[in-house]
Amino acid sequence: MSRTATHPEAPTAQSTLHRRLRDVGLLLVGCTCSGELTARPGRGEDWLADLFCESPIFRSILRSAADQWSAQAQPAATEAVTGLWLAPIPLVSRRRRSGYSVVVILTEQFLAAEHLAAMCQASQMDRSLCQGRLAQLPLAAPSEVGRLAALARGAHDDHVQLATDRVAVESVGQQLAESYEEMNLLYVIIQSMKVVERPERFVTIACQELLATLPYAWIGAQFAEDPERLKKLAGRLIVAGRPAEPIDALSAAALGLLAQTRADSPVVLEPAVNPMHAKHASLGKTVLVHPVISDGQVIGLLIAGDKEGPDTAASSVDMKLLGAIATHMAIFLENADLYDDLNAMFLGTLEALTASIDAKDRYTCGHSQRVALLTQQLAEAIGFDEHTAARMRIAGLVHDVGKIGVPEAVLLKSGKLTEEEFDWIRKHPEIGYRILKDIPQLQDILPGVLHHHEHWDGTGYPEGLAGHAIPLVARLIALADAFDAMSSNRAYRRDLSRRAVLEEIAVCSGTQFDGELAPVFAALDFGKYDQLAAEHRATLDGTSQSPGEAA
Amino acid sequence: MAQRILVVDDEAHIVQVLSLKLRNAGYEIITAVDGEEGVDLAREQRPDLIITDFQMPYLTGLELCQALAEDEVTAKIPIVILTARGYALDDADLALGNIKDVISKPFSPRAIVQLVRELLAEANGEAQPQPRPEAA
Repeated sequence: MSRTATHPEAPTAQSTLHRRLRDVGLLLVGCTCSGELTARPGRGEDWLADLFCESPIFRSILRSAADQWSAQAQPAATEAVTGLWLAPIPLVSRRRRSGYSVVVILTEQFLAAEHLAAMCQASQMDRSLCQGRLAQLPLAAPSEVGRLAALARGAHDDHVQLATDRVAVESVGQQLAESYEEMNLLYVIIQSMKVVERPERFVTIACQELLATLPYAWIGAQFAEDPERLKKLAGRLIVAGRPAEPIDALSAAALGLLAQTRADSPVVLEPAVNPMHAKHASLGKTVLVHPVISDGQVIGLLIAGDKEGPDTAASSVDMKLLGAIATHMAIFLENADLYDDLNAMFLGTLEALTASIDAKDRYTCGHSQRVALLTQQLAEAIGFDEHTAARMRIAGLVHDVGKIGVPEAVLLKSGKLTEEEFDWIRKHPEIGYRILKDIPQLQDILPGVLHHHEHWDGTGYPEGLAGHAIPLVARLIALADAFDAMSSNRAYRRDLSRRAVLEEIAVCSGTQFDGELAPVFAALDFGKYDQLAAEHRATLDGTSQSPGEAA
Repeated sequence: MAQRILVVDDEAHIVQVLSLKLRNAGYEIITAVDGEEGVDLAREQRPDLIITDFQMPYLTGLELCQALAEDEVTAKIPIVILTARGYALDDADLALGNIKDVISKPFSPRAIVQLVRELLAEANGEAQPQPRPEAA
């Protein structure tokens, strides 16, 4: 047995079907279970429809036919008046008969029927004109009525099925589009989880993407007041969208909520409906809250506020997505924390190593740190991004690490160096290179270490490279290194004034230094450098002076 | 003879996805678009298992479960509820009728097929002393 599913209202299918049937001389109308006309072509659109639908006689015929059909499980076509057949197709809604589509089938006998005259009169149509038009219709022979009714019913069922399927396809398509959005959200979140991304930026992207995917007025991430764990995010509310309340009020409400949130339990707040939630009314009508958990502690809340659209009830679809992002956020923040720790330890270790080398010579104390600072500033000044400039800072920090292999007697000698002694000095870039070359994380730093004593004109060491063949980072370090050496009390000369140093750099621009970089260097703000140098001098004074001298 | 599963949901995409996956897994699928039709079909066709939405027009998933529980012909049919409103259901609701599981949307179609397989195996295991008429 084939079941016909619920027939949805399908006006488009109905009018297409009407046209199709009309082409073969059949008229399609709709009526209720009691035979009241419900669907018909517009008045004046179709003379055949007007002929019947405007006529009280036809309407009364339809009512009595419907009366007959109501008792039949499968209502059959009836010859209501001579030559006029009504073939009913029951419409079903919620598994009950809700009316009929009726196919009007005319046979040749109708032309002569006395009802025709009455109908023409009622519809204010000329009878002979009407008869002429009817005669041109493909009228059926009485023996064909059954087959035509069956065909029309088949076409009708197909059209209803088509309409049902179209609704299903639209629903599946709509759902597919939403699923793509959700998938895209997850892709974007995963892609922005690169640990070099700043936590604030990651959280902002996450909120914006959630807002674009979920039907809420705003999405916010409120973080606990825990500066040790959360650093700059502590106590902050990052919001995407348009909340009704000002951010401060929202943040205060969210912090209150955070204080009473138990670990790992998402909450749906409906302040308007649930009196228990009334105190959270400032967050919106329907609010989803998902905790962000790190190390078993609630470090923040991800909040979707004020659901919009036709369905404002909380949905598990929304909550699952919110939960997935909350988990990603926790992982990201933990990773960022670990990364910061590792990075701080890495830099701290390098600084300790280079400081211990600088400390051998009181005149070079802090030299590596100052060169690191200037190299970074110069890198930023010529347009490198923050990350690259930070890498160049590291190159500046370790540029002299090879001095560890140079005898102290040579390094600390205050007089002029012999050729042999100077050969030792010339070896320090290569020694540094060899010390660092097996550290995978420092591969990008090596050219700076090896070539920071090359000169633009090719007279430097170790390889005598010239011009652009000298790696850029090495050209930056060369400027910073020379500037700091000239600005400091060295074993072999007194420090020069700032003006004298910069003049010397200008003079050597194009021979020792890259002529394009030198003016940029000279224009740097040396405030931070001077501050650092003062700190280094103070450390030196504190350690080298005896208690008596200090007074 | 293939085991028969009734899928009740007013959202066409859910019906489509579940029907496709379950049919491919070898089950016979009948579908209904609201709770009322679901109850009628369950009485008529005695499915081996019912998967129903919670939020539907005319009769909710819970009302459907209750209606089936009141009729001894359908009382033993295991039911899985699919819902995007899991928050609105509490234990008292779930004690109504033969509800075996509540799955919140979005769900994994594969997980649903697996769950259906397990529930049917469980039901068959219990029913073994009295083989079903069709199976004989």
